[in-house]
Amino acid sequence: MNVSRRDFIKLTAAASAAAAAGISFPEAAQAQESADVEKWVKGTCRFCGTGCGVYVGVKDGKAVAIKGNPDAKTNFGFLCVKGFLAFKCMYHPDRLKMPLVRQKNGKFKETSWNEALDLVANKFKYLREKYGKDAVAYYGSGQCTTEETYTFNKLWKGGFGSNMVEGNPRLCMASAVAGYISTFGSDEPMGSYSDIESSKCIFITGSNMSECHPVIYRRVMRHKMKNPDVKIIVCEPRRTSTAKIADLWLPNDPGTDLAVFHAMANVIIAKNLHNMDFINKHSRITTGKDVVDFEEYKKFLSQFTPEAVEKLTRCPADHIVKAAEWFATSGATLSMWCMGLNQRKRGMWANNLVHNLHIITGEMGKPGADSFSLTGQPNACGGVRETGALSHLLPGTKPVANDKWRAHVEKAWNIPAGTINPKPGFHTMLMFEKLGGEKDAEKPIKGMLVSTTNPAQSLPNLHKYVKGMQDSFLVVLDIFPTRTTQLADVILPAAFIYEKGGVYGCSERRSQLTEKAVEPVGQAKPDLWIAAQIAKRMGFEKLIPWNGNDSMKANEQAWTDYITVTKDTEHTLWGATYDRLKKEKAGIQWPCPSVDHPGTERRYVRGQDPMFEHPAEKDHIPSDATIYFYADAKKEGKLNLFLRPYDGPGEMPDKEYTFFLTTGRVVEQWHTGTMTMRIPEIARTHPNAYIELHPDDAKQLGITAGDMVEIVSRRGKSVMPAVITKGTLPGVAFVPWHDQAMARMINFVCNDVVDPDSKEPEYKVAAVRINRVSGPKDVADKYIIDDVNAPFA
Amino acid sequence: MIFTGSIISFEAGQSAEALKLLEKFPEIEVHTFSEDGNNAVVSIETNDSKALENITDKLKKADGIKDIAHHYMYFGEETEKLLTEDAASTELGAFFKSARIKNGKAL
Ligand code: SF4
Repeated sequence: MNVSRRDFIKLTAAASAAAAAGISFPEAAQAQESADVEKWVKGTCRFCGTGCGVYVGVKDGKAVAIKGNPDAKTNFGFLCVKGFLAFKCMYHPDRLKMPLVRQKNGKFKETSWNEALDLVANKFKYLREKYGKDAVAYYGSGQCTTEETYTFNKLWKGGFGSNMVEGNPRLCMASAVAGYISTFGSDEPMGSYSDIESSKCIFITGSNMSECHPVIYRRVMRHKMKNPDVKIIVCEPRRTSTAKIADLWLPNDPGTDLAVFHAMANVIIAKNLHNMDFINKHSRITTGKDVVDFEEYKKFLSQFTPEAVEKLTRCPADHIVKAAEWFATSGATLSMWCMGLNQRKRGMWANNLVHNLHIITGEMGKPGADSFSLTGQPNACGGVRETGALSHLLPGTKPVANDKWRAHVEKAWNIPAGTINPKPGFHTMLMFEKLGGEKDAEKPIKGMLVSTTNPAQSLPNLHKYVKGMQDSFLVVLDIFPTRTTQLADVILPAAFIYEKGGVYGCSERRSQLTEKAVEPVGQAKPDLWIAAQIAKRMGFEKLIPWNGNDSMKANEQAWTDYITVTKDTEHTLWGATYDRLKKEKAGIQWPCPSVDHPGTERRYVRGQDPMFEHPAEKDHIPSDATIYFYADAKKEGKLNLFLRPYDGPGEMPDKEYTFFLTTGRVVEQWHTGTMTMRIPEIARTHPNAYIELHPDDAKQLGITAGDMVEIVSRRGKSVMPAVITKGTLPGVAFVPWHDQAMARMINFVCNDVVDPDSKEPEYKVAAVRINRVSGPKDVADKYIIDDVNAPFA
Repeated sequence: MIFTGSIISFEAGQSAEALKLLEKFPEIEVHTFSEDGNNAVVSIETNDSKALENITDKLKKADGIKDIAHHYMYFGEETEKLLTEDAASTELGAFFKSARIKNGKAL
């Protein structure tokens, strides 16, 4: 490389960083903005739910650079390591490049797209004709684009007349959805990330955001650094890297935090720190069945004294009192949580109880105060939640059982009345339980299309579900070989987000468009094209007409269809036309009812939320109401303040299984590691799964750092090296779940008991036995599956 | 080669010491500063992303440096290497040595 070109690139890089940080830079350098890049294409990061804005630099049809989007309201130009290194996934030699069909000898053979799609369509037709309309299921992902998820959902529910539609957000966000709907009447938060910078107290629970949402954590950290008086409380069984910046850590045994939240509410009310005016005006106190008065709520809470709760949870009583005081008196308290609350047998209740704390203190509806659920995947909100791609929902996150809404969707889709089944399909765990081969009469689901997710590694209590996937007709769309492709009959090579474009909607109700930057590798195709081609072959071309080869045009058609169906809901994105999304540098937050509306930073507040003026809501909102919860099912404009009895996890440690096991993510790795384990600098940092143990436990079990340890539950076992750390409570072990090596796939051990309301399984709590197996061993690290013909072993 | 455009934030009052430290890294070029002098705009040039990772780690741990944030990354040559599966790519070379499944067996 000659010196001048090198200097040129360096100047460009520095100018871009300066612009992102708002630091002035010599104009001459700024003028060189496009050095060595032919064009910059706007998009979002492919990984977590933060929704960081990026620009992908393209030269000669290839991605050669990436930079944070300084105008993005999510990340202001900063990206974490995963965002920067996405190109290594795009161009990795293991990318699937041709359709593959399993042959009689068990090996895959490359085929043409026509052959593969004909096979899939014919087999789906055959299974539906022989076993009924619910015989083929769709299992999608919070990593598909909104257009893709909407299209598959429409094909299944409007075309097949089947609600056997699920997605992996059932495993991560369903409790948050159920929590918002039961408390607020409508899914997704009131506020936005911008509340971080206005907050005076931040209550982080069930989220290790420093690892899982690094850019949001950075915003929290910088806010705290600038404003040392801001109080940070972390309520979490482990002293995570997030807990390290906390002013107060509320440790507790996994699955016991419902009692901690009730105890905080008890202290707030006992110390007269509650906001009676807000409670009276904006809430209805309810057991879920009966409405009760405040005195009864107070009496119910009185059993949760900090001392009693300390005994139950191991959370120090004085910490509970301090946390309650800070929560109620800071002036602007923001709660944030993620899987730690959701992946629980009582995940919905845990969500309700955090909302309760905001209701009793009135800490909502103003800058810096909100009850905000973080989402794990880039498009769990925008895709699966908002398009209603779960077995009980329709677009607009409304129930299939709602006659009026079903009729509306049928009309909008131009299909005969009665096409959509009013009965919900199976939730994810039931769907996989009922999946099996044609010979198995117990299994009504005979075929499944899995897109952009890896259930053969990610389902809890995995042993129970592998056979069903193996025996059924399984079609998998993905970019790499995975544990799930090992069980597939047909593998369809998918395009990466920058190879197809599409909309992602992040945790703060913000939809952002990624434009197609480069062509897909090999013969990989967008999921949207695959969905439309299957639809066409099955006779549903009229329903899904966007089957052309121009991916951005097809995206636009699907998006327009979607925003038309949801036009008059509180989720409206009617003003977010594709043309507008292309132009907007930071995307748009719904509700956005018209093209001249800027989008909504805060819901339910007059002057900020356009639904106050929208014909769908206007008439029943009192003209003097400044805050009004118009989505309330009882049409009283109120929130539900719930009396939820204490309920612990599905299983507690006992004589045989003496430890709590909890699982989670680490900053560098993403989900099952199929992408991040292929990025060398990421893989190196966490090349294998390990078990974190407290030094007291390790001593008692005779385990030293690096020893191989067996973790056994009632369902299965794993073997992996030990890490000894004071960052976890004695009696609580932690394992990250990204490792694909069979012996270390911790989901064989995890519990698949589901929340009776949200149907989300309890990944976060299992009772296990732990034994030392041997001294340190060289484990097969950075383990990936690069051979599609490798068996599931 | 990898090039980044990055912001290095100094602990208050420690920018002079931090700048001395930065001089020890030939890969780093300081272009300008924020008005308060607490942030430096730099470009970093390394042979590969592993070297970048090492520098980032060292700086994060160094006294006087509060944070380093990358905003821009140019990786055109890395893309070429990946597309040609260039055996000389040290990173990929090292990567391929790791244990993987081949023909159904872990190596
Ligand atoms: S924080 Fe999440 S969205 Fe942002 S760059 Fe990192 S992985 Fe991507």
